[in-house]
Amino acid sequence: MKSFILKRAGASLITVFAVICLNFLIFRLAPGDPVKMMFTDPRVTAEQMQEVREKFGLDKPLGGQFISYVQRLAHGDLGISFWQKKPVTRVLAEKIPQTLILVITALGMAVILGVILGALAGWKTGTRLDTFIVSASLAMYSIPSFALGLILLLVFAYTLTIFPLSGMSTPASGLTGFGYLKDVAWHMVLPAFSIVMWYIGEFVVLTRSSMTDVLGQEYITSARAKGVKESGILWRHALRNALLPVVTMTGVNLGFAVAGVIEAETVFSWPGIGLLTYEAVMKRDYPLLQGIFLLFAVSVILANFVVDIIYGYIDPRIRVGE
Amino acid sequence: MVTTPKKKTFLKHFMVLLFAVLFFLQCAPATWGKAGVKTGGRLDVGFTQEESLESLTCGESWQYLEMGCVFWPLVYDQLWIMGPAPEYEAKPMLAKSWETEDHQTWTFHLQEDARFHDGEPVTAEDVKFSLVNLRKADPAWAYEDTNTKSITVIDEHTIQLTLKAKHGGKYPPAYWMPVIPKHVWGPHQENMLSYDNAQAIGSGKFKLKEFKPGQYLWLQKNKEYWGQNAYVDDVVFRCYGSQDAVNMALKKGEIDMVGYLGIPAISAEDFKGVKDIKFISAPGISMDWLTFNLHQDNAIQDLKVRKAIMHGIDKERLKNMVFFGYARKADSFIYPELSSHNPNLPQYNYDPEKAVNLLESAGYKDTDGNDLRNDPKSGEDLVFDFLVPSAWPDEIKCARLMKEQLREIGIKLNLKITDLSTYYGFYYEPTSDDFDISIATEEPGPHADWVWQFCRCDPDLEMGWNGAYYCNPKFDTYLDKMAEATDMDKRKEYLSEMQKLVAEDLPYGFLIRPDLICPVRTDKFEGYVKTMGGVSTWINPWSYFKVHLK
Repeated sequence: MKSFILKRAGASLITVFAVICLNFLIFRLAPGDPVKMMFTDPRVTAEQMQEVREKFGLDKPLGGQFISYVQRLAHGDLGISFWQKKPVTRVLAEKIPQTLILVITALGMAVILGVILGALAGWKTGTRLDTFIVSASLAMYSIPSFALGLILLLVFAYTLTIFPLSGMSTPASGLTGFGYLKDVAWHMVLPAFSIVMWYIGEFVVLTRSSMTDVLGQEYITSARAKGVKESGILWRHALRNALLPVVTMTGVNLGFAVAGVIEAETVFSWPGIGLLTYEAVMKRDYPLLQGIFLLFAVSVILANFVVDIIYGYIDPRIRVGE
Repeated sequence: MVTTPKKKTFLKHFMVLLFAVLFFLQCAPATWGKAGVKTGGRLDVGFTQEESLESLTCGESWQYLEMGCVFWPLVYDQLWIMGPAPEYEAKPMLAKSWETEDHQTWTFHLQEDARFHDGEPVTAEDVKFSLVNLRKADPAWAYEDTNTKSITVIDEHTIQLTLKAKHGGKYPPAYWMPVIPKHVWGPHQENMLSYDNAQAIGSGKFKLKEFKPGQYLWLQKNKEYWGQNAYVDDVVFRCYGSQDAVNMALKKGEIDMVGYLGIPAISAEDFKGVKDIKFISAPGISMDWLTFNLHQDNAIQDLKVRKAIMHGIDKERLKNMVFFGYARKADSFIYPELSSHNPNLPQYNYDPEKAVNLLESAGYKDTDGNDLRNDPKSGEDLVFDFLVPSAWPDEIKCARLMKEQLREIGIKLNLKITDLSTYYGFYYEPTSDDFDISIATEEPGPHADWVWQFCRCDPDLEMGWNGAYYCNPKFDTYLDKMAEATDMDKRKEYLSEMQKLVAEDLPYGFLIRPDLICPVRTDKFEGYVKTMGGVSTWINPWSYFKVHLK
């Protein structure tokens, strides 16, 4: 197991380094001078531009910039945001908690609902219930999330006025403590729901197909022969084994979800990493975008690594190659 | 069930008491101001996320970001402020009066009782500090009228500015400059932009209560304000994920008005005849034009080609199809309702026949049978790179229409749609030849001397306002004379000549001035102030000062 973990860790580190290289190069390949683009005002003098170039290390040749970028990264320094004039790590640290609250809540709900509905669909394969669950889930999955978000806003926030139109909390409410938490939860319903609707399709389809595989196994027949109740077969014998691919999918999605909330956060004005990404793109804030992309990549790689390890424990067959 | 007289009396008393309490609660937050205006209440204002502030640093977001340039005039005082329409007079603010003899040395006398929100007095030292350091911190604050040879503090409440050149016109210098407290910013003066300004201490009519970046900005009335105060107690700028969400918020009463650009013309009909909403439409403050890159060594250099392009564009169609009729034609950087507008400028009306004749007479004919005219010098097709930023949806629609229209006269436009930063990078550096024609937009405002820098010849400048790379020494002579002219008639004369030269030389081809559609809620408040650009713009903080409870 130890060598398995080390191998996986090594592969992850190589991937992270490749991402760092790509992350560095991709922004330098974009057209235009980043220093000039930092200023909307064209009256910036050559001296002011040179000062900024020196400040951000953009006066060095590409190789030198890369070395100093890697050196700073090693010290946890992601640079200064062109736009917010603050260290990127601080900007990210301010936004990560908001995104995590949303992602974990939404993904958790998507997993629970997706697994239950997928298990039911797999259990009742070929029935109307199966057709309904699968069709509805796929329909939700195929609606672009920004469109779904706007529909939710129109119906629940504007027409029915049950939920707020935007933000994470009621502006200028002065709420604190439990009242504030309740307010945040109330604001989270629609963005979380739009994310749940997006992810639920994947989990339904995956659980359903895994369930249909498992239900054809001999140990299920043998459980039936022993007289185990149908509900016991479903929840204890079939679902438990069908959950293995769901674990993988959850882990991988957790990594992707941080990047995947861009649309939900933008539509609902949820002040997290997704919205920050959108704004950083609009403002061409290279250091911030580099930091965000690195965060996305590392979260996906980390999630994959953790899933690999967990999976190694759950299913010893995948450690065969170690 | 039988109701006894005793019960009836009790019920009657109870109801009277209940109504009295309800009436009291309804009226309790409001008080009556000196002018018989009901004060109190909270004005909620909506901004889209892209328009919203993420920090309170004093950089270009106070100049160019919609929420930024509405925020600071509420929190910080200026020496003087431009009054509302139609006069747009210079009104005293921190400076109670000013005088000059030669229009180069200006003396401002400050209000003695003005104080910052932390209780410290506002002095001439604060004014000097602001004038010197803001322009050092960010070029966005550098204007001709704050370009000083020296600034002298005469006494605690008197300051003298000696400008590098004379400053003519009806407005004093130091326009649109916040006065920031030296005792707060002093320690950060070497790197002002790195100071987060989390407390935003100013001396304005409102002070900062709470700021949640990207969510909301909450201002409260500065009850110790030295002058005529605002009427509302609170102003809250709320951020929304999209323009659609802002529109919904206005309709459901979550906000009372839209923070800056109003609503898109396509949504205008949705707000007409809606209960508790007043439909306000105002002539726009922004105008759209074409910038021809005269640095390019191609047919765009030819005035006849530029004229043909302008005659090939149907502005009426742009107005109706893109702005649903809510726009008017533009022909100068100066708005037609201002006295300095030249009414006799050459007009480039839609006339495809004239456009074709112009091109034919200059030798631009289709020599290779591909329906595109060819440059007689190079033999190449008349194909131009047309720069448009992706962030301006209306301008993209205009560009697509213009592309169609110009194809009719044998000219092809290649749309080059870029993000806004790339757009500005290309636009303000015409020497890099990244575009042939670009769409451009600006908000000159009534005091628009600065906008003429767009035409100033300065081939040595790496970057500058002059996106067209236009150079006409005659124009520069007029510009210099205009800037210094103290005789208003002379000034008008120079401005007329400048407008005529630009219209004839066509470095910029004016297209359209979109109206501002800014519906406001009237269930709680009244007193919104309308100027060009609507009820809330960088030249119009007046709605925030004048809005009051009904």
